[in-house]
Amino acid sequence: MKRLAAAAWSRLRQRLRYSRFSSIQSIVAWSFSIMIVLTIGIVALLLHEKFSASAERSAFTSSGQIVAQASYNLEDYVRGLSNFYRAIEKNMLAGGQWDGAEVDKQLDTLMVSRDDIVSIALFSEDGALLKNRPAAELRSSANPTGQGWFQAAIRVPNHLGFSLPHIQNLYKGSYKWVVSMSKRVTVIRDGQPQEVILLVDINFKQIDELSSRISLARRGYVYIIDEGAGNIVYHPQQQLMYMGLKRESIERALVADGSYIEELDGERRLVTVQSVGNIGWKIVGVSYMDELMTTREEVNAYLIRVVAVALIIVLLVGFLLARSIIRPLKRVEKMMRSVERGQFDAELPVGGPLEVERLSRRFNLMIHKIRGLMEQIVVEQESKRKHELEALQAQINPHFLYNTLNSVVRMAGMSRGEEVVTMITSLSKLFRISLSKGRTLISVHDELEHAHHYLTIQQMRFGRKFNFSITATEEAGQCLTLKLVLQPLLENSIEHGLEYSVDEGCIAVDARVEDGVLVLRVEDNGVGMTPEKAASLLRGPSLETAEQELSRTGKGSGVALRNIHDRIRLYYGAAYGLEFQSELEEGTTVWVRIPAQQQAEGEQP
Amino acid sequence: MRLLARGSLLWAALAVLLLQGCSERGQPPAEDGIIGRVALIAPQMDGALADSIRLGAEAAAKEFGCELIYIEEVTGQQNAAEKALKEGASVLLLDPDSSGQLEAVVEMAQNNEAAVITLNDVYPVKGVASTVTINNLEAGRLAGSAMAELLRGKGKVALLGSDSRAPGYAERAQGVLEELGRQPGITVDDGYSCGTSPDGCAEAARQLINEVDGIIAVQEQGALSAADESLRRGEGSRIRIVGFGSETPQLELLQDGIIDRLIVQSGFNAGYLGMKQAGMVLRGEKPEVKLTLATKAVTPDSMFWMDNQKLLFPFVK
Repeated sequence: MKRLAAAAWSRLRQRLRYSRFSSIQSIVAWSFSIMIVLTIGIVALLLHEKFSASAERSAFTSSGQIVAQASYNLEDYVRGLSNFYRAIEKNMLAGGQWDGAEVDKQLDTLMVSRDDIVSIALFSEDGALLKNRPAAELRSSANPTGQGWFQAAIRVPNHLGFSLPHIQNLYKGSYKWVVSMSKRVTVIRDGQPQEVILLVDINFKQIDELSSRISLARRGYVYIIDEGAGNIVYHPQQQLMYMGLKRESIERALVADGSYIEELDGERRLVTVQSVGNIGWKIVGVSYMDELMTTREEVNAYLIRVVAVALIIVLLVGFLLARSIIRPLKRVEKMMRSVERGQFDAELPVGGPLEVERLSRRFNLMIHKIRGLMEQIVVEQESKRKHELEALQAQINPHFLYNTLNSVVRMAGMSRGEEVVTMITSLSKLFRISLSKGRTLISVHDELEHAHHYLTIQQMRFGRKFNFSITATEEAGQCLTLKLVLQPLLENSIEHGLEYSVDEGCIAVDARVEDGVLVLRVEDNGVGMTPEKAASLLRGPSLETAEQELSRTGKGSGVALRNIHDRIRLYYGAAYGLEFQSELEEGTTVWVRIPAQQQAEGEQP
Repeated sequence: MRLLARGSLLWAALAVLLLQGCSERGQPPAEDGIIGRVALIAPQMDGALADSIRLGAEAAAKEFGCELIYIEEVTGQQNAAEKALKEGASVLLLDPDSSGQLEAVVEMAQNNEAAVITLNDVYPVKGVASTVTINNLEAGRLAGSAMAELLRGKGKVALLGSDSRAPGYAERAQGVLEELGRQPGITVDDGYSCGTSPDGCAEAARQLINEVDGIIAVQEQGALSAADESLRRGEGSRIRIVGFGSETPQLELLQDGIIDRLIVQSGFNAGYLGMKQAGMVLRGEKPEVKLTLATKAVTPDSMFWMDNQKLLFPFVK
């Protein structure tokens, strides 16, 4: 398993190395991008932390302020109610007289001043209704003494108590949610002290509105608990709580003051608790953290967008930057490739960044150097060949001379003085033309003369076994040719063509100019050869092996022919040289083609 | 020059990209995270239950981020539904009058790609996304056992039925019969019905009051008529009356002991849960097909207990 993973890793690395990822372009682009994105990322992270912390702090503060404000409002409201209660108490119970139209009028005026007062009632200690405004019939089933507000008033005399919100069920015709203010008061009525309970019912609607109006984000809410008993005074979703659809951790809110974070039913909530004076209630604000922290999410989303855009831009810029660096390098690479293919005359335009400019210069210098070296090699090679050829040329003579002199000796022995003279004269002329004052080029006229003398000598040596003819046009005779191109051909004709022929041999040499090309033709009627052999004469071993072969055999095997061919091509170009045509038992024809070059005026061949 | 132009164009494009990326997204999400509009088509009966449903729906709308609109049902449910759809409601909450009405509303809603959630009653109509209802059978059993307890297991009970086609009433009656059938000392007379008018109810009650020891009325009006008759005869203490509902006149009669037991449901919870289902529909979640709410029997003594007060008397705004 481990080995497999290692193998995969190394494969990946290798692939990366050879893929585009290892190019300078991608290295520059990526490192540039990574650096910038890393910087942006770090800055974003720091900003994010800072933003989040301050958002959280401000959420806590604002939540606390809202709840405190609600608490003050409620406190104010309760204070107002207390004052109202005292006013009623004063108006109604001051003289111990609560009957009569005067009191009714005063109470009605007081009630009109506030729209949240449901009813005012006065009960005796045993629960009998003494008076109420607005006057309404007490329900037969109403049981004042059994009610919480009544019992609370009895328990603590002279203390204004606020009940929990409840349904007022004393009167016929309506059920209203009220908070009851009640107090046991001792009044002097008709000179007698009497215990009475004054009840003022306030519509709960006001407190409900005060509480429900408070907005703590979208889902947040406030509820009110009774500090003494831990009852819920007000909760917007109290029914859900009775049904078990909602929970509230009242215990913690009862002992807490200020803000804390709790987790309830999988949701994090910010709870802010504030006591309400005078009434013994606590107002509890609940906000959901996910709503408070929307700032954090917004900041997150914003930062992600910024980083994404920055990444795109940075990638683009990096790519362009890398490309501008890479382009001249690519140009160098392209140029190198063309040099690889053999185009040494290429030259790189010098430009681009400093390094690339230097590289281009050095490349150009290198190409110059290579070109120089190559030219040098060509020159050297050429001169080497020339020397070799000249050496070969020189090698022709000794054995010919030796054979000829042998013939002369034999003829002298047979006292054929005339023939000896002819032969020696021919030999002398042959050598004169051969030397030609060291010139390479001689006139065709001289070349033909040379051929004539050569053939004469050979004719005499071979006992007139063949005859020959030499023809030339006037124009051809004036042309220049490499010297001694015909002699090896003639030698070949005699040694390979005619020596083994039973018939009388015949060699014809002809010189003419055809379309600006000097054509020298040597034709014999010897044994000939197969066209394959004729075709192979000019191919075959290289110069070195030819030399070896030459020194081994002393003569021929076509080496001399190839030498002539090479010499012509070396001097005049690849378009010129020898051409063979031969047929067995029919004879061989050789054409020598060289450019027709007229002898310069006044120049002596 | 051309190169320069091309370069500056590129930089301009980059700058635009940067600005666009960093600027606020064009379309802010719906204000305050509202996910959709829900229409509550006010139930046909006005009163405490309707108020409770409305309050519950309001509470849930706030909690689940829906916008709640009320459509008064002045000229029939169909027209109200049409109006609601015209106002852009994606979910309709309603207490259907009849199976036919519901079918028409469902079809209309589906044509407008809206969903229908019914409250209080289960009609066998296809295409209703969710139903929030009380278990009427269980409520009937509760009424039966309350009556048995009141009569101490002995006596004659009349079941005042309903002619309404709403399936809920029939289930209540069935529950009552099932429960009382298990009481050997109690005989049940279920041959009476309110008909379709209060007069019919009063008529039946007048007839029954002398013949039986207890009356169970499956309709609100039945209990009221029986109680009226009982009051009229001055025999409130003798005849036992068990009813369904929490309308104010019923509650007054309960407090006075004329009606002995009321089987009540929480309208607040129905509204809340209906709205919660609507919220699920709007968020693309699958709502529960049927939600069943518990019912409760309240007595004159227990009706002012703190939890029952909230159940019976909605905060009226």
